[in-house]
Order: sequence, then structure tokens, then C-alpha cells
Amino acid sequence: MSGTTSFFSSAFLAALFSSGVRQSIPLIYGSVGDTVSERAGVMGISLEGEMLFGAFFSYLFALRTGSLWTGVLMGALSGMLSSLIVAVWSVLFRQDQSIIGIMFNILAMGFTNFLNRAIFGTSNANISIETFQPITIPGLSKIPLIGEIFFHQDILAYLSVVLAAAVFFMLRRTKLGLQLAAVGENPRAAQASGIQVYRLRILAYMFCGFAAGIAGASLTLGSVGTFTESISAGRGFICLAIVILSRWDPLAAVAASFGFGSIQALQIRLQVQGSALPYQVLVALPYLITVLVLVLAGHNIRAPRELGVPFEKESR
Amino acid sequence: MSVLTEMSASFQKSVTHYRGASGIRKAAILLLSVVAAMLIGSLLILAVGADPLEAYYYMLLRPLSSITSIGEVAMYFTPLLLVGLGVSVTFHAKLSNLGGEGQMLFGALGMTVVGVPPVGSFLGIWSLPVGILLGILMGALWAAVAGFFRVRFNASEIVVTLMLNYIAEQFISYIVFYPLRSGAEPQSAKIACALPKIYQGSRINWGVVVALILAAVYGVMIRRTRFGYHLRALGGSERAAEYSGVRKKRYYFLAMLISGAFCGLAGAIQISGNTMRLMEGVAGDVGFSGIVVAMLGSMNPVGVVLAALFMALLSAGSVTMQVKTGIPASFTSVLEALIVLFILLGMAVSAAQSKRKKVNTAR
Amino acid sequence: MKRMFALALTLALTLSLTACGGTKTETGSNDADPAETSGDDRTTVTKIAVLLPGSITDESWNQTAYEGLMQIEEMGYETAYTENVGSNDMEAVFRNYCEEGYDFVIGHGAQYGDACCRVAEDYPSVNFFITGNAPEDVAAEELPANIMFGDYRECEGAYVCGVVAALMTESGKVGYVGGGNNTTQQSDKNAFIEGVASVDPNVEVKTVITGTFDDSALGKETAIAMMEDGVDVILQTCDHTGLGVLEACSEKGIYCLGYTTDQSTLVSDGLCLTSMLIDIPYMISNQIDLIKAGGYGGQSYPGLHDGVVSMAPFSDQVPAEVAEQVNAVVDQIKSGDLTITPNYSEN
Repeated sequence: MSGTTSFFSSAFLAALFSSGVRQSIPLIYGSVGDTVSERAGVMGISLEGEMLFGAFFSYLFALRTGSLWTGVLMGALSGMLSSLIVAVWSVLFRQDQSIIGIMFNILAMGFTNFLNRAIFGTSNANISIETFQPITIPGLSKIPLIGEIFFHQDILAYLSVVLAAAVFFMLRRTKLGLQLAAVGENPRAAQASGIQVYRLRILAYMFCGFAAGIAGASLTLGSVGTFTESISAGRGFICLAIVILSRWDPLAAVAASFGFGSIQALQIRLQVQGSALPYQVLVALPYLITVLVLVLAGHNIRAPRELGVPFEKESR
Repeated sequence: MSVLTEMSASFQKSVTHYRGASGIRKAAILLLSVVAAMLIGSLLILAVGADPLEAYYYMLLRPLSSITSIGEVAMYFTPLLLVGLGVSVTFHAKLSNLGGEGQMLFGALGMTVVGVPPVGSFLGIWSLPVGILLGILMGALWAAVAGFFRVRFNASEIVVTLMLNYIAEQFISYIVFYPLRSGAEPQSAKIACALPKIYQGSRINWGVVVALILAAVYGVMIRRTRFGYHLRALGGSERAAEYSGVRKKRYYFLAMLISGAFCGLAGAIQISGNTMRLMEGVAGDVGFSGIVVAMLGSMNPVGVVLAALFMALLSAGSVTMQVKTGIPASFTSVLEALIVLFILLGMAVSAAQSKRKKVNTAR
Repeated sequence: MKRMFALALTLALTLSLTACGGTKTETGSNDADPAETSGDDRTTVTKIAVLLPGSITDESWNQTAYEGLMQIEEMGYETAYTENVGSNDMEAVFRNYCEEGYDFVIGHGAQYGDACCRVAEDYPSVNFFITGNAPEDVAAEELPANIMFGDYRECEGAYVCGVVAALMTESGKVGYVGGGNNTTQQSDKNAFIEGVASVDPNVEVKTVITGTFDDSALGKETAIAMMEDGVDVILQTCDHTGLGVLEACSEKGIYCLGYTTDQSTLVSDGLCLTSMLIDIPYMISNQIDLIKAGGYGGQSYPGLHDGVVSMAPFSDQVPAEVAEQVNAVVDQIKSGDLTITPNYSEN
């Protein structure tokens, strides 16, 4: 290749990281939601499925009502309602979260495909909707490089950071945050101190579903403008990894999501530049890095103690 | 909210009692749950405008109507059973191996490496046993990665096994794209020796017998050996098990290793008994369906065999069902998911009754 | 412990006994149509089935096949299809259709060739068609006679797309986005590069294999990455992922080329210059004619010449002289003056 593009030119970097930001949006929503539910002890294996619900219903309602915001709202609500299935089964019935999650994902994929065909027939690609457009933040967008990367994004991108910050504040500074942590660390003690363990876990999980629904909406309404089958394409699982890497910290999750988005963006650009690496290596890169970081970070990563463990109230 | 608490309390008691319930009772519960799921499934079928009875006939009975089609059921049955057993091993220790998919792929790779030229042409018929052993080994090693991370770094085996699935998938794609590629299509050459058939007129091969024997071995291992006893102790109560001298880490690691060995074997059999070549997608989601099998069979050796049979019928019958009734074949996976959800529910509800009965007799 | 072994043994025995108890006559199609029982007479077609590697809503490879099949159904044939047939159950699905009395079964993808060979031997009265080449390590004389391998020359269409792209680019850079790992994809990519080079060897071709046919959001980002690099015409051949590519082109206002169906309706302002079309209904009905003529089987390479591959009408963005030049190339390929050999090499 003639090497027409320098990897370090500011135009290239701006484009690369701007794409990284765009690709991180669904990851941020998903991982922030999952952070909350994992803090309370419930794992979001079913994020993938909730994203699919969110993606489908946000598209459906945006198309039918002509309003993107109605779409986002309905996407979030559908993610939340569907997550209720997982919440009830794993918290109330105290069944294995990984099994419920996997089953739910299968159900979600089958169900959204089924609805997609029932409503739109075999061809809905024709019905494309106008997506959210980038908003330039006056002033900030003038900062060289940084402005171009971070302050020329669509509204869902800005909101994702706001959400992460709000969750950060909630976890650190509010009673609710403390209660969530108590429920995830030591539910027995939490119960003894009068916290409604089940209620909190279910609510936390519903929040996760809500966020995952927006993540799905960001795919259909923020990027593609239509729903295609299995559009979540494994992003829910990446979110799980991000939550671990960010050590259950929502702001760190934003950074980690941005990292993953940028790796994906870089992966594409390496191929455009004619990289000799087999594409499989590049596609597997995010997963490899996750496992690698898990090893390198080693013992420093400490999950909420009761993560994934169903809570059993004292039975007599 | 107190309703929630009460609901859950009754569920948790019931599940505990379910574990102690008699085999027949458990079987009845499972059966009822399956029926309930199928009833809900019927609604979906009706929604598509098809006849549920007809659909279920094609799904569950038609595959048994001829020797040829029974052979087809066996093709699905063997890997499902093996992965189901493998996943069960980890479930006993309260671990979740969600990486059956990746471990199968590595097992398939093990079989292929010794099955294709040059090694395959050198080993000839011996490539079969060697390939199967290597497949088992590679499946075990891939699972051991997750097991090692779990015990050494306390990394959630759930997340790691999921990640390893993706990595294995891309790795196999690379393998068939470059080093093992034979010809234009991205697939390996044909392996030298196939698993012998049991009966010539059908695809059924000796893999099914191997799998059944392993189901028995699994039963013995879990129920009659010290290893199995400790494993279950660990699953029952981590702390109690540790007090009684069970080395937790070692058992976690071994459970993952053994689980991976089962899945690796499933992958090796998939190559030597089915596709004859390594290509993308040979694991075909069996790694995930195997989880359902383990659940449905409640980790009991006979139960897992029956569950694998049931799931194999669903898989084999789904195509005929689609052809005859127009219901999309993906309906099968929705039904699978429903069944699992209902089993979990059924376990709880039924045991709640048993509890009530017990209380009454106690009085 | 003993009980366990005993049980396993009994099960194994029962299975093998029932297996041996069967009679040979049960193997073939035991509930086949009367037409089929007439042995080797393979000149009738009543029931047609297609195995698809992906989903029928992909606006592409699988959807064209599905829509083609629906048109065939309107012609009075009984049809069926199965989506997402992966390598672990392809043989099972083939056998299932044969058992259910389908007398013409199509595997839509070269990856089905191997399994089809095994099945075809057991069902000599059924005709098979594989969209792709025969497995190379099976000797030609060992291939079952009742399979036709039709590797339709999609690459001819890709070559023409390359010509269009090279003529339309202003930046001197064009792009190709593929989904993954198969011969059709590779030969498309290589032919596209060849087509571009035939017009102007100085035009650069940027290629990306996304590794997925389902991730439309990734497709969009891929196209954007290419545009940033200066690419101004993109060909995509990756189904759902490709829809994202089209969306990006539509949004950013650069040219694109459609795949398998006329995708001009998916892109605004006539930016979709043309599409390479695969006429599946024509191909299937063509095969039916061949079957009726008798002696069906072998290998064929239908392409532009046979009308199986064709180019969609040009959009109004394409100047008349470009259209003329492209049509000349199409004619050359049709007449055989120009042969495009599929090139399956990785790079």
C-alpha cells in the first residue's frame, strides 16, 4: 500500500476516535446498566437479549410515531419490561442467572425476528428512518482534536455520559447506592438492617434492562436507521467484560467502552490500510484483550461478593 | 413488597424440598413443565395459523418413524448428551461452564489435525482413536484456561468462558482460512477415518454408544467416587466443604477440565461422525443447548440422557415441522427457552405443595 | 454403579438391535411420491426445497433465493426452505427433505457440496443443485451423477462493478466490504479489484472483511472509515452488514454498488450506481428445464451470458458515456471476448 494516510495525522486520529465514540455508545448504556445490577448482585448475561428488544421496539415506535424520542422511550421500556422476566426468575425464584440469561437471549432473538417478520414481512430494510444527527457543542467543539472527537456527537452519546455520571453519583453519594452495595456484598446483613433485598435487586435489574433498551435504540435510531435481525451482534457480552474491566465503576465503564469502541474503529482502519494480519485476529481482538486484562489485573479485580449468587432468606 | 418476599420465600423453600423429592416426583414435575411450555408454544403456533397438534407430531414423533430418521436423531443426540454431561459436572460444583461451544470447536480441531494429511494418511485407521483423544485433550485444555483464571485470578468463569467462545470461533475461522485450508472453500481436507456406523442404512454411528457409556461413567463418578462426593459438597455449601478438607480451587479447576473434556469429545465426534471436515460453525450452538440438557436432566445421569433425547427430537423434528406446517424452525429455540423457564417454575410450585403436605402429615 | 452400566449397555443394545432389525427397504424414501418410486427416472420435479446459510430478511444472498423460490411456487411447484443451515446440521436437513419426498433440493452455497455428495448417493432418484463448485478433493468421477454444481459467476458482476467504480471515482480510491470467509466472497473481492485495475491501475482498492453478515452498525462504521480515507465508491457483498454500508453512503452522499437485488431503493439520490443482480428464479426454472430434459448433473458456470448474473439499471448519477463503456464490458463478457476467472486466493 502506498501509505497515503499517516496514522498520527490529526485528521486520522480525530476520525478514528470519533468513530470509537460512536461505537462505544451502546456499550456505555449497556455497561452502566449492568454496573448497577451487578452491584446489587445480579449479572446481566441477558443484556444481549434486552438490547434486541430495545432495538426492535425503538425502531417500530419511531417509525410509527415519527418521533425518535418516542422510539428511544419505548425501546428503553421494552428493555425494562423484558428484563422483568429475568429479574423475577433469577431473584425471586433464585435460579441460576447464567442459565436464565442464555435462555432469555435465545427467546429474545427468536421473538424479535418473529415480530419483525410478522409486522414488516421479509423486507423492512426499505423503511429507513432519519437517525439522530450529530450536535456540535458551541465553543467546546473548537478545541483541536478533542472538540472534533467528543463534541460533535449525537444526543445519545452526550446522554450516555450524563447517565454514567448520575449513576456514579448515585452509587457513591446516596443512600440508595450504599444499599445497592450492601445487597450485593452481604445481602443477609442488608436484610437484617431492614433493606428489602429482593425489591432492590429487581429494581436494579430493571434499570439494567432500561439502559440496555436505550443501547439497542442507539443501534437502530443512532446508527443504522432500521432494524436488522440479530443487530446486537454480541455487544451485550462485551458489556459484561467492560463492567469487570472497569471494576464496577460507571465512569471507568465509559472509558473502557470508549477503549473497546476505539479498538473496533482501529481494527476497521487497519484493514482499510491493508494490514497483513488475518482479519480473524482483528475481529477477536476485543475478546482477547478482555481475557488478557482479566489476567493482568489479576487479584486487584474484586467483584461484588454475592454477584450471581441467589439470595435465600432465612427459612425456618 | 411483602407479597414479593412471601412469593420468593415459598419458592425458595419449595426448591430446597424439590431437591429432596423422590425421582418419580421430579420426573412428574419436569414432564408437567414441558407440557406447560408446549401449551404456551401452542399459542404461538396458533398465532402463525398452524395446528399445534400437527406441529408437535412432526417435532416429536415423526423423527422416530423410520430407522433413517432415528439415525438423524442420534446425530443430534450424541453431542447434546456429551455437552449436557460436561455442563452438569460444573453445575455440581456451582460453576457455570458457558464455553461448551468453544471447547467443542477445539475438540473438533484436535480430531481434524490428526485426521487430515499428512498425519492422517500416516496414521490411517489409528487417526480415529488418536484424534478423539486429542480432541478430548484440547477441549479440556481450552476449558482449563477458564478454570485456571477462575482459581488463580478469581475471574468469573461465566464471562471468561463466554469470551473464549468468541476467540475460539475466530481462531477456527483462521485455521480453516489459512493453515488447514484445502482448496478454495475455507474448510479442511477430509479426515482419513470416519466413526464406524452401527447400521448401514442410517447415519447412526458408535459415537452414540460411547456417549451412553460416558453417561454411566459420569453417574458413577458423581455418585460413587470421593471426587464426586466432594464436588457435590462444594456445590452444596462452599464453606462446609472447605471445613471438611475439600480443596476448593483444585476441585473448581478439575470440574472445568472434565467438563471441557466432555465437550471436546463432542466436537471430535461432530467431525468424525458428521461433517468429516473442519469448517466454521461445526459446534452449531450445541454448547448452549447442552446447558438446557443439563438443566432439564437436573444433572442426573438418566435424566440427562432423556433430556438430550428430547432436545435431539426437537432439533431433528424442527425441519419437518417447518416444511409441513410453515412454522419457522427458529420456533424450536423459543420453545427450548420456554421449557427451561417452566421447569424452573414447575420445580418450585410443585415442591411448595409437597411441603404443605409434609407439614400436614407432621401434624 | 452396576445398575448404571447395565442400563447404558441395555440402551446401547436396544439401539443397535432396533437398528439391525430394520430392513433395507426402509432406508430410501419410504413415504415418497409415486412419481419418485419409478427408480432412476429423474426427469420430474414437483417439490423443491432450498437450504439457506442465513436469514431471508438480509436483502441479499438469502433473500433473493427466498424470493426466487416464492416465484417458483407461483408457477405451481410445492416449495420449502430452511434458514440458517449451519455446518453441523446441513446433512440432516438434506436428508430430511429427501425423506419428505422432495425431488429437487438446492443447497444455496458451496459449503453444502460435501454433505450433498453423501446424501445424493443414498437418494439416487432426487436431483440436487449446489450453488458453487464441487468439493475439490473428490474426484470428478466419484461425484454423484444427480448433483449439478452451478458456480454462478458472481465475479463477473463484481468485475463490472469494479469497472463502474473506477470510472466514477474522483478521489482515485474505491472500497470493497465483505462479510467473511467463503469462496464467493473472495472471488467477488478479487474480481472487483481486477475490474478496477482494468480501467485504471492507479486507482486504489481498500478492502475490509467485517467477519459478520449480521452487524449493520459495524457495516456503517466500516464505510465511514473508508470514506475518511478518501474512498468515494463502495461495493458491499455482506447482507445485513452491507445494509449499514448503504446507510452510510446514503447519509454521507457517496456512491455505492448494490448486491444481489436492485438496492437502489435503499439509497437516496441515485447514489447506488447499479447493483449486480442474481436472477435466482431464472436459475431455478432453468434447472427445472434441464432436469426435465434428462441426464441432469455435472458442473455449470452460468454468468452474465446466461442471464443469471446481470446488472441493474444505472442510476441517473451515471453519465451516458460511462454507462456506454460499462455496457461494452458487459457485452465483451457475454460474448466471451473477456473471461473472468474466479480467483479464490486470500489476498
